[in-house]
Amino acid sequence: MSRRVFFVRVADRPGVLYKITSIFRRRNFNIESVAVGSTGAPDESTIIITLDLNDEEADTFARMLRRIIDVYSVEEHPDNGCVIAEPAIIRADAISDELKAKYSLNELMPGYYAYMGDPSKLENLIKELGDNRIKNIIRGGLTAMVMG
Amino acid sequence: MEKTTGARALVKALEMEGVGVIFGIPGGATLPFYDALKDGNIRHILARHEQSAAHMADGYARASGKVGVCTATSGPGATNLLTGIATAYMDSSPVVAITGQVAKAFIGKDAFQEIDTVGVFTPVVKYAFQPLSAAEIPPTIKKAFYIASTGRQGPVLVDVPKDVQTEKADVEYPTSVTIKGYEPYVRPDPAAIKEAAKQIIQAQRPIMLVGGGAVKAGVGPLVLELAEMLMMPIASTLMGKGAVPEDHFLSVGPIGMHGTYHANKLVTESDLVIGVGVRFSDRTTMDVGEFEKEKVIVHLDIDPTEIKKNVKNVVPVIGDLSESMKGIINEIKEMMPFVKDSPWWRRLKELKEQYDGKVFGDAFSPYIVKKIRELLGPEDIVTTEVGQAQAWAEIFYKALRPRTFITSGGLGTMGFGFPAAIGAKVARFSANVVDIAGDGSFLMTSNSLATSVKEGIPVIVVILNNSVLGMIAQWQRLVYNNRLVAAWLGESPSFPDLAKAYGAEGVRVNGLEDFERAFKEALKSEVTYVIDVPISPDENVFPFVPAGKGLREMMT
Repeated sequence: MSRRVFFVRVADRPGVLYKITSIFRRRNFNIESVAVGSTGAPDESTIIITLDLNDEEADTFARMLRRIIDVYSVEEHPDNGCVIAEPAIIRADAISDELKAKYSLNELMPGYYAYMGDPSKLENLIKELGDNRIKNIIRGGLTAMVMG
Repeated sequence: MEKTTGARALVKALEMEGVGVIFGIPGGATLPFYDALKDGNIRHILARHEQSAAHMADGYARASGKVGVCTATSGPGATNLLTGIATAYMDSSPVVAITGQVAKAFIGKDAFQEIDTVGVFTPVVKYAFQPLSAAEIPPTIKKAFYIASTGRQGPVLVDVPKDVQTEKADVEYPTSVTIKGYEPYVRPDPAAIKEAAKQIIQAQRPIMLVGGGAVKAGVGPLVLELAEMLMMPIASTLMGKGAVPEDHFLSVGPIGMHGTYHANKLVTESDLVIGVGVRFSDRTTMDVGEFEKEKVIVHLDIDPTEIKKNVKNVVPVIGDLSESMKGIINEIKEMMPFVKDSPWWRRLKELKEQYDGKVFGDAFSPYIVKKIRELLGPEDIVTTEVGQAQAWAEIFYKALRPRTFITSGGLGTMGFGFPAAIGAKVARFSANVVDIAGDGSFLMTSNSLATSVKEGIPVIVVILNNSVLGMIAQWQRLVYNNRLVAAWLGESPSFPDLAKAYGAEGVRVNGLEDFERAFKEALKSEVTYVIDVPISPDENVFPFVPAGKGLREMMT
């Protein structure tokens, strides 16, 4: 098993995400993250899926994705070949300037902080703040770009 | 460009696709469509249940190779249609289903007879459309037929809201179609063909395994050419029956849970399997690990998703079957001379002489099936229900032409055979069409008798009537310690009386000679003819490979 990132170019049309998530459901693939974004191309979206799969499962998953008519292309990359970022909004008691600087936090409103960056660094931040200081957190899922 | 209603545009678009017949039942959400049908040139055949309408369209498609069309209203009409569409999907049959939908303003509001049809059908169709304006209808129909009939074929849904049917708009009818992200024609990779050919000539005991894809692609002659070059047996899956004539000297019939003894034996002994348009389903391979053991598997298929899905260790050739077969034949021609004799060929001959058509045990049903074969011409069509009758037909009915053996292989839908026979008869009216049925399956869609009588579509139904859900009883006897539960159907109804109540003919026969007489009568009949053949409830279908076992563990 290893973490893989799939970049799936799809038609920007209702129902496409349903077809893709149906694959996870039916084959019982455990997804880590799904992010949908536009790439600037008209009528087209890119879905970035991060999940742990072995080689055989990854191959199957890619074939099943390609079979969907609304899927234009599928690229699979190991996570170490990608630049990966994750956004999050954290509601917390006043965070020190030192911590804000360390994690490049942006205070959107008093007590609400935005994070954007390396997902493992986000994990560190959560640890450092601790459960009793975090009142609420929303993680936005991984977004990624292939390097090079 | 013309100004017209969505419903009229729908009818015209269907006519432009060459549609001559639609199977369906009207309902509130399809009234505008039916109103437009009245002015068109399409024959409408009224089913008595939407499931049957879908099976009729499917039977039509399988017999003709053309797209079959069915229609139902929203809500319960659509959900009733679902089983038939799922059946078509599992067997890759080109069907276009047109459903009515409530008006756009009511969608998502739990309106009367509203269901999320697109959501419900998406997992069992190749594509689902919902045009939201009248102008979208002609291009949608064009795409629907293109998707259904190209590449790996399959059903397509077109769900049309009622107000889209009544809306007037300027519409144009496209003459060509391209769909971004959909490239149905795949040219096989020459390197893959070379590798496949290399593996094939190295094999000592190769066997061909032809599937439903070989029937659809019409590659029977190429399969024969390759098999004759190497003098290797040609086995089939249930769906592959008829791809090559089963009376050919190299044909050994189907393998699988209810394969022939010699085909299962030969595939077990082989060192290389050439799968042509097959998906290596669990009913075909049985224990798949056992199946793959000590074998090279060359897998030819148009659908890349099938490669390594069930059997893992394969030499794949992905693409158009005809191109792939031609490529392999050409490679082999250059590399090796024709085989005239080999120990493998002698083994095939020996097993075939011993087991071809052999009846294990004291079952009577096989003799009925063989008699049907004897009395029908090569172009005539057999459909089957699902269960013991289907398994008897699989083993003992030799299909001699593609598209003459029509059965629900993937979904295994009881009630398929009779409406599919009606659809097949509409497609090829000059052929005799016979449904090999069991008493359990036939009752599921026997109300299609009304359709066959009223619309003048005579078919023959042979009911192997054992008063039980035969396959259930067989499993309960052989696998569940003889504990019979809920398998007993009893002797109700009287099938001849049932047939007559609908205006069809029906007769109960006693023994093989009586059956032959009745069948010859049926062949002359101008109405649907039901032949009720009493069978012992204790008959088992043999050979039988219980689920979870390998093909070598046949019960006989």
